[in-house]
This record gives sequence, structure tokens and C-alpha cells, in this order.
Amino acid sequence: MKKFISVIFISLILAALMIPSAFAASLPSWYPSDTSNFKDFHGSNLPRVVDDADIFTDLDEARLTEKVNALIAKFDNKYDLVIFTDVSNYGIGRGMEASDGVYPADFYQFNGYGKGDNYSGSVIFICMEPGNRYWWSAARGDSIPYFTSDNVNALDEGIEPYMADGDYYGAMVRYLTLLDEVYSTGKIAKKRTIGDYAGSIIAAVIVGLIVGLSNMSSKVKNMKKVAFAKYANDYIVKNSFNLRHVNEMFLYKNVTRTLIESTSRSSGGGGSSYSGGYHSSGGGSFSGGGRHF
Amino acid sequence: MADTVRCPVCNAETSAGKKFCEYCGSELNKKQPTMTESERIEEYKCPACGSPLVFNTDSGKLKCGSCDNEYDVGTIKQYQKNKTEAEFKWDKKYANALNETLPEMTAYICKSCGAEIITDGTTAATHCPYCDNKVIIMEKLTGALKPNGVIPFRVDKKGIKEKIDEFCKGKKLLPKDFFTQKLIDEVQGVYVPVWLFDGKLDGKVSLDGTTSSSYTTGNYRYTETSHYLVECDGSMEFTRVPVDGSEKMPDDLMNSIEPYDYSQIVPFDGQYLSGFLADRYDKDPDASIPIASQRMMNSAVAAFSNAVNKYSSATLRNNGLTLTNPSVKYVLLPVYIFNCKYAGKIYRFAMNGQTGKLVGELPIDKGKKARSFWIPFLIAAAIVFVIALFLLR
Repeated sequence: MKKFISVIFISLILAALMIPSAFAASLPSWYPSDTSNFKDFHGSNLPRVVDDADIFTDLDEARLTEKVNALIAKFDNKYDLVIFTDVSNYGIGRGMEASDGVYPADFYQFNGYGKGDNYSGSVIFICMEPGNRYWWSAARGDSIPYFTSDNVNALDEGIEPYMADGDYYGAMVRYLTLLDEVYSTGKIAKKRTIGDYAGSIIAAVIVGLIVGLSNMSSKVKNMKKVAFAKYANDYIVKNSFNLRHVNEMFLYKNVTRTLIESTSRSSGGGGSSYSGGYHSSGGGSFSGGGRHF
Repeated sequence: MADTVRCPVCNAETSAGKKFCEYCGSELNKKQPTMTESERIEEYKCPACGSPLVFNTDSGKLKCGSCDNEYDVGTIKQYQKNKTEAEFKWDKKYANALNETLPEMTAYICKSCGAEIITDGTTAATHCPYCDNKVIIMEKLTGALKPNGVIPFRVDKKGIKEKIDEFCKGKKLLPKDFFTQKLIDEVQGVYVPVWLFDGKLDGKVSLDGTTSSSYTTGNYRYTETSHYLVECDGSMEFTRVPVDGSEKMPDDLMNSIEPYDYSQIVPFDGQYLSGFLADRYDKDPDASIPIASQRMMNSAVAAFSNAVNKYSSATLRNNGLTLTNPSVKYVLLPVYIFNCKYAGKIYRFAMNGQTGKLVGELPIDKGKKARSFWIPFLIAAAIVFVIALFLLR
């Protein structure tokens, strides 16, 4: 009897331990049970900062919300924007194109984000899943042309130092500044370092040296018109060359192998993963990219 | 029990129990073609890797123990022929053609370089045309060899000026007013003694020929290079290959003013010396043969290489050409010689007195040379820098 009670007790403890993890693995409440028949809609009173990973303070959330709303208003409500964090991406999109980007795309679409008829706008998603921490920008509708490979790469480069330091609020402030630049000018002006200018100077000096030396050497060479004659071609009796017989003997063969350097790129630029076009689980068309950190 | 084993490839003794030869690295237990000691043909080396070849009794071929290539015995024997340069059989028949001497001539002897300058007696030499030395002594010369022919001067003093202007065109680094009128006025026309060799090269030339083809599989590009031994048998005739017979006249200058139109050779007559000088040869035909023969040989080998043009490269392996029916003539060719001083250095020029072709190394103006570097350097560097800045925007 004692043994039976012990087994029941241990089973109850194990079940109790398993319950939280079972909850953790379940999908968020907003995720539709049937994604195949999902129809797009415009949500109302949607929050512009959804911090499910709880990485922002309440004050940070309020400030970010204010900045996001200001940015949306600046561009006449043409482009929606939402900052979204979560503890996992729940394996959504695994095996699909741009798998890291499907979950934020789903979040954007299933919650009814987006402006206008084609649901224009974007979401910046931060996934805090241990072992799979990454961020991803997903754009839809009229925002897609702005989220080019170069721009996504520049956005990622801009926030990467903040993300690496765990300054998520700072990262999002920087992100909003850069996104403002993207919508205003179509691209992000690259900040140049002394190294970039040094490279230009070195390139200019090298090209200058090549041009200068080749010009000088050709002129110097032109000053000397004397050489020993190696051949007597001018003195061959016309049609006197008589090739009576040619005997060819094969000796051996060499085969050399050289690796062909691949010039194709698997990602959009720099260290970012990028997809110029992919679909959410609800069938919406998105583009975007991101990085792991 | 033996402490050592014999390597089947290099025949060296190596410690028993080793898997590879301590000397050549060959695998000791690898099955080798059966052979007796007498069948080893160690004097033949593999054309591909240079390792010794051994006779394979199964295939009847020579096999390389290192790279496994197999060769026909005949092919290897041909391939391994010692590289020998052809020796010219020069029967000195030319001696018969050069037995006539000139009557007593007026000659000027340069005390600096030893040049013997012959004149017609009415033309005075004021300086040595080769070294520009002013100390030359007039003597009477007897027994000078009579040339078989001469090409008279065709370019006059006016023509010299035109040819110099043409020569200086495009020479951006030339110091200003280098060729002065005074210099042109002092230019001396000299008949330079030249040996003209005729002959026929006949025999075999062996070439190392290669063909290449490439193809791509997966991420690799493969290049196949096939090596051939190519034996060519043929002949080629040459006529009037010139070698100057004057030690004082630089060979490169004489080579560079070639060619002369030998159809204009006329029999020698003292009247052609009027107003010009003539140098007496001091390099006999025997000393000139190697120079002429080398030029003929290079042309013949190039012709054979070009004839077997299916090969991507064909380089000389063995030269078995022999010169037959050789003959030589002694002629005088017209040359204007200039000696110009600039910045303490003497620059020597020669002009073909028949065609006006002028050759020589011109002096370089240091300022112009510096500008020829810095101006393009600055322009190119500025353009590249501006483009780089534009791209960095």
C-alpha cells in the first residue's frame, strides 16, 4: 500500500512539474486555431508596443509607444509600426521560407495591424528564447519596398551594438530613428569611419602609382631603340622552309583541380538574414530580415 | 634473418619492418612489376616526375614507381636524348671568295680605340667616328681585303636632319635642343665592314609540346594537360645574314639599323669612299659564325614551333639542325655615326645610310621624367579619390 501511495505521489509531482512547460509550449491566445481560413482585418485600439518577453520597463514601453505613434503620424498614417517581444517563436514557420520571420508576420497579420487596403506597415520582433535569441523586421504592403536588403542590413547594424549589450530600449530608439530615415529618404546614409577614408586614400595612391609608373616607364622605354637581333627572319629565303616530317609521341597527362570561388550570397547583406518575399501562416506577403544575438 | 630490405623503386636498402622506403618514400610492400636486376633501366627518368623508370615485363613498357605513368621504350629513348646544340660544319669555302686585296690605301689609325679608317686619299678624317678621339694618324695601308660589294650612301646631310626630327618625334623625355645643327654638320659617314652569311639549316628538332583542356564538375575546374614529344624533320635556307666585322662598332647598334636592301649592292669601287670613311674589318668570319648561326637557328626553331601549332606551348628540347652549303661575302654598309655628350655621358647613335633608320639610346631629362610620373599620378589619384568619396556617400 505504501508503495502504491509513493507511486501516486511521485506521479503527481512529475505531473505538476510538467504542467508549466506544457503551458509554455502552447501558442499565444491571439494565434488563430485555424490559419487556413483566416481573413485580414483592421484591428482597433491596437498597442504599438507588445512586450510579451517583458524586456522593457513600463516607463520604456510608454516612451516607445509615444515615439512609434509619432513616427506613424509623421508619415500620414500610411505605414503601421509595432514593437513586439516574446519569449519564443513557438517553432512557427519552421521548415518554411524565412522561418524566423513567420512568427512576427503572423503576429502582425492575425492581430489586424496594417494601414490601408494592403495593410502597410512593419513589425520589429525580438525573440528572447534561450538559444534562439534574434530580432526580425517584417514589412507588409507599401512598406515592403523600403525594407530592401541594404536597408534591413543597415537597420540591423544600427541596433546590433545595443542588442548585444542588452540595451533593448536603446536598440528600439535607434531603430525608430533609422526607420524614420528609411521612410524619409528611401535609404540609410552609411556612417563613414576613418578606415573608409583611409581605404579611399590607399586606393587612390595605388592607382596613381600604377598610372604614373606605367606612363613614366613607357616614355623611358621609348627613349631606347637599340637591341640585339635574336632572329634572322628578314633573311629567310622565300618558301625555303620545308617541313618533311612530324612525329608526335604522347608522354603523359597531368590533371589539376582548382576550387571555383562562389560569388553568390545566401543572405541579403552583411551579417543579416534577409528574405525579399515570404508568406505568413495566414498567407500575407512580407519581406524583411534580422540577426541572431 | 636479413635486417634490411631492398626498395623495389630506388633499389636502396632500408630497415626491415618499415612500410615505406627511407630514401624515396615508396611503399615497400606494394606489388611491383616482376623484373630481374638486369631489366632495371635506371638511367631513364620519368618525364612527369623525374623518378627512375623500371621495365614492366607484363606490359612491355617502362613504368614509373612513383607516379605510375607507363611509357613506350622507344618514346623514352627519343625523349632522353641528350640535349645537344648543333655544331656548324663550316668548311671555309668562303676563303676562296676573299682572296683579293686592295691597292695601297690612305688610312687613319685611332690611337685611342685602334680603329683603322680607310679613305680614298682625298677625304681627311679629323676624328675617330667610333670613339670621337681627335688623335688619329694618317698612314699608308697595304694588303687590305677587297670587299665583294658595297651599298652606297643614299641619305645626304639634309636627309639626316629630317630623319633626326622624325626620330625625336614623341620622345617626351628628350632634353631640349639635344641634336644641334653643329652636331649634324659633324656627323661622319662610315662604311662598316659586314660579313654576309648564306646557308641552309637541315635536320631534326625535338620539341616539348603540351595541349590543355578544361572542364567543370561541381565546384571544381579541372585542367588536363597532355605532354608530347614532337620531332620535326625539315630544312630552311637563309641568305645574307649580316654580322658586322668591326670590333669597334657596337653589335646592337648594327643589328638595330637592319635591314639593308641588299639588291642595291654594287661591286666595290674606290670612288664610293669619296667623302666618307671606311672601317677595315678586325673580326674575321670564323669569329662571326656563332653570331650568324645563332640567329638562323632561333628563326628555324621558331618556324618549326609555329608549324606544329596544335600545341598550346612548344619549347625546344633537342636541336639537331646542321648548317649546310655555307658561304660568306664581305661587304661595306653605309652608316652615319653620331657621338653626343650629355651630362658627362657619351650617347652613340647610328643611322642606316641607305634607309635613314636611326637608332640609339637617348638621354633623359630628369625634370621631364619626374613630371611624367607625378602629373599622371596626381590626376589618377584625384579621380579615384573623388569616385571613392562619391561611392561612400
